[in-house]
Amino acid sequence: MTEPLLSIEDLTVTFRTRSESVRAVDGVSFEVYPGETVGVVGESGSGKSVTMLSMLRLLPRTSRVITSGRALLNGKDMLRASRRELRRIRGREVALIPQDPMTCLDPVLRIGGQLGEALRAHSSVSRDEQRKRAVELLASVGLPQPDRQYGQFPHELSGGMRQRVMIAMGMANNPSLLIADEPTTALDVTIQAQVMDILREAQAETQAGLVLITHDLGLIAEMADRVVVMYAGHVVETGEVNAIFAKPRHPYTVGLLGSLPQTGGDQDWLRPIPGSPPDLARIPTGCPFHPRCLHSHGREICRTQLPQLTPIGSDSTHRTACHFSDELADESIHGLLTVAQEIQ
Amino acid sequence: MNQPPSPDAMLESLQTAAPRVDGSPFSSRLRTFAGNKAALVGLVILLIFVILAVFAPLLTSQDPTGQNLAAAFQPPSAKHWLGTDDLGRDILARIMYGGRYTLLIGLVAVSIATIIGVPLGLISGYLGGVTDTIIQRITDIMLSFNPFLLALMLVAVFGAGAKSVTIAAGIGVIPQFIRLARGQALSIREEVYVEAAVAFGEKPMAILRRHVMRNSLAPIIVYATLNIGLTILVAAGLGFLGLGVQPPAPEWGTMLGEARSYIFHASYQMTFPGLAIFLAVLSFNLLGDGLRDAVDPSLRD
Amino acid sequence: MSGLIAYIVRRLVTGVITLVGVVAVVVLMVQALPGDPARVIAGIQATPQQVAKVRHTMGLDEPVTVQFWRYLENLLHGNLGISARTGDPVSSLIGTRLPYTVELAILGTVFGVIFGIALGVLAATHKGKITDALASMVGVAGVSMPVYWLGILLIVVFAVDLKLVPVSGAATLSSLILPSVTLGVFSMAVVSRMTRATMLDTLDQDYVRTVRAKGVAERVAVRHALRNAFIPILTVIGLQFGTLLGGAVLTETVFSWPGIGQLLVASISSRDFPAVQGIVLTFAAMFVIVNIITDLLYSVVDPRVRLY
Repeated sequence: MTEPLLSIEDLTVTFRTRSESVRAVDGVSFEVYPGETVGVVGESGSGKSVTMLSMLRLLPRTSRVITSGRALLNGKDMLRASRRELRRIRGREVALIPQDPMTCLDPVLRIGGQLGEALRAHSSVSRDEQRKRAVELLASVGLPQPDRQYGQFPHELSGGMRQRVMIAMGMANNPSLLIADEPTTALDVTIQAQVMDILREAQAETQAGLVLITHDLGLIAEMADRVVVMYAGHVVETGEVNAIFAKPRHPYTVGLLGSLPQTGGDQDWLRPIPGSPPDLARIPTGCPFHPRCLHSHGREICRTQLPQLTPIGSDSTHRTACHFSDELADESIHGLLTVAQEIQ
Repeated sequence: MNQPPSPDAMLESLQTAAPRVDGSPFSSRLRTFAGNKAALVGLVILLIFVILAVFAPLLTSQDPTGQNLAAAFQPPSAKHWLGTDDLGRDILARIMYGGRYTLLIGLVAVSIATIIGVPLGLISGYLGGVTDTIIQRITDIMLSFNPFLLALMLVAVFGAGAKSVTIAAGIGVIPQFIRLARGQALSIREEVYVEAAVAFGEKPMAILRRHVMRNSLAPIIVYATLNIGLTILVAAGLGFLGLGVQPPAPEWGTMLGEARSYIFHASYQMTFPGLAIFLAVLSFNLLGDGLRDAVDPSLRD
Repeated sequence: MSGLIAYIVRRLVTGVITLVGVVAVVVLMVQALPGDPARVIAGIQATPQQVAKVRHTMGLDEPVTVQFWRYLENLLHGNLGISARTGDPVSSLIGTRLPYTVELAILGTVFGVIFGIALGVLAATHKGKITDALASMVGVAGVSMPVYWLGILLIVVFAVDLKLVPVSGAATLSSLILPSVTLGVFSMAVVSRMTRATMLDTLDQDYVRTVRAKGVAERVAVRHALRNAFIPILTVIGLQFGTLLGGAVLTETVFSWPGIGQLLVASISSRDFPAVQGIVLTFAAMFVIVNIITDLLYSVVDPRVRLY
């Protein structure tokens, strides 16, 4: 087996404020291999963005953050990298394609300048070369008039165009890992597909690994090879995308899948999971999902013991953290859960 | 789209950088305030000045205005802790008594500015239209002088002296209060409870009094505190120019102006009145900053 | 471009309207003098003939509206009246002294802006550390400092004790240093406080995170944050310019600087109201012009700002 590109091991991230401490990520581990796409799914507040941003060491600096564990990128622990090392790694080995292209480009600088900055950060190129390469990049992400967009300001571009610019910027130094944080949520539905195509092409071209953070299961089904499902800072289920979609073994995953709009037939509505994600300062004891779980039936172990992520049967890639995952092997239960969700 | 605000809007929001008030209980605000060491330092300095000013006759036996030329220009000593001035008067006693002028002028001037400026601003912001335009044009004109020049002009016309200095300093900062209150009224006008009051048929003036006024109180108090410092600076500046409280009254700015002639051989004579002005203004600024942080949750970390 | 010109014209028009308002204020100011304005201006020892002459030359015997229009009309011809104290045209009195005040105001602003921004950036990038605490202390001390006292302290230390610079006057280049610093300290404090507050906000913006994600030195990220913090900073620079002009009156007095601020104080002391009127008007005009300039600079700093 090849070496993983990114290996996150037992990552824990705690935010400290004056009065309380919030554990946003708790003991998260997973790997990303070269060329593969890993989808990280969860509701907002599940810790999926914090996991990746803490790996990049790009969490906002306003709060006190305590991280433990390791995040090995090409064998190098990002959590312990020096400023200088970070500078060398960011942009060149790993690039971030952020959530909201509206706020992620510097509003007072031309597109060309911002792209040029990314190019200059890792190679010494002449001004002409830099311009040529920037325009090429803009063309490669399908911008209609790359020469013109080079000299434009962000506010002169549409949201979809800006996200293309962000992708071009991410690809500027051919990184081996791309992290796309909800890359399409801020965009129109019609634009979303185009942007994802661009992203896929870019990835295919460079054979980069891709971490796709999203709450959109449809996107995962379309793009991802493997899935990591997160809830309240924990990984609750992980496995190949087919296994997760066909045979989910965690009530939360079942709930997420059940909440997908059923197009076709008469079931064209959303069934949200009842309740809301926990306050991270007050995560429930035991399994963090138990207060919302439709499968727990008030069993004591769910309230008292944190379930560990364990492989399911012989399939070592499919793992879940539920005390009663065996019961979920019976697929008729899924139907029951879905119906229960509907009633609630 | 994240359109940038227009320059005018920016200006507006800056001038009326009014603290937002959350619904947190008084006790939590008090805790925030008490946790702010700088604000506590400000409070302590202010209390010291208040005590010195109020109990001056008990705390010193020296006469702040009685001249004794034989004792002139004495550097600080056991008898005269801060030395004596050109007319042999005890500088410490003068500073203690002088605090009465400074604190009263600051307090009264800001009260004047609040009483005149806040209603004008609230009306301007709440009613809008022609009323707003007229009040805002006048405010623009007043702002194009600054508080000090405005006060200086008023004193030039109405003469020096404690009373006119107080009024002048107060009028000098009126435009700032108009701007602040207007901004408050503009934002509160959009609140649900005001809309509800309108729907219930309450009259504009009643709404202003009952809802808008009450809800803008906290930021106005913060702003008033910060402006006491400013009016003290203005009043003392007038005194320094000889256009403020007139000698022999021991107003600090006036003392500084008198001491200026002797900076070459008696620099201590100007050190302490100036230090007193600085510390008094500093105390109000620290206090105001602390109050603002306590009232405005967006500034808390 | 024509849009820009239209905007400038519009700003100039509102500026002129404000200044017309200021003219009304200075005309009313003389009317408001307690008792007989002509008597006050002519002085207590003046003979009835002298008082009558003052009344006539200043037009005080006419209705206030007529005085207002006459003042405006004269102003258009560059005529600000005759100084009651020296008998010279007020415009030429101001003309010879204005350059000194402008020089001082520019140097004070430059000092305040450069050090204020530096201090604010330092504080914001070291939030919660000792540097931040020190910068905050300098900031609050700066806005609490009486300029006149600061000026005297600087004179005592640098001119009297250390003899590094001349005590007063505007004779040499080094004589500029102390007055500029004195005048600029308040601006520095205000600008540093604003810079810190805005930078704390912009440093956490997504676009700065994007810059960091590119793998550049932290100072590059700080530069992006600062550029985006410029609009609020520019706005305070414009607004505090009024305070700076007020400070100039006091600074000029302390340093015997031959500008219009010192002239204003002398004119008030000698009840020379034509001169007071002219100087006050000049100060107001300077404030209005500077704020038009800062407004225009918005669009230079931020391409999203459409002024027209």
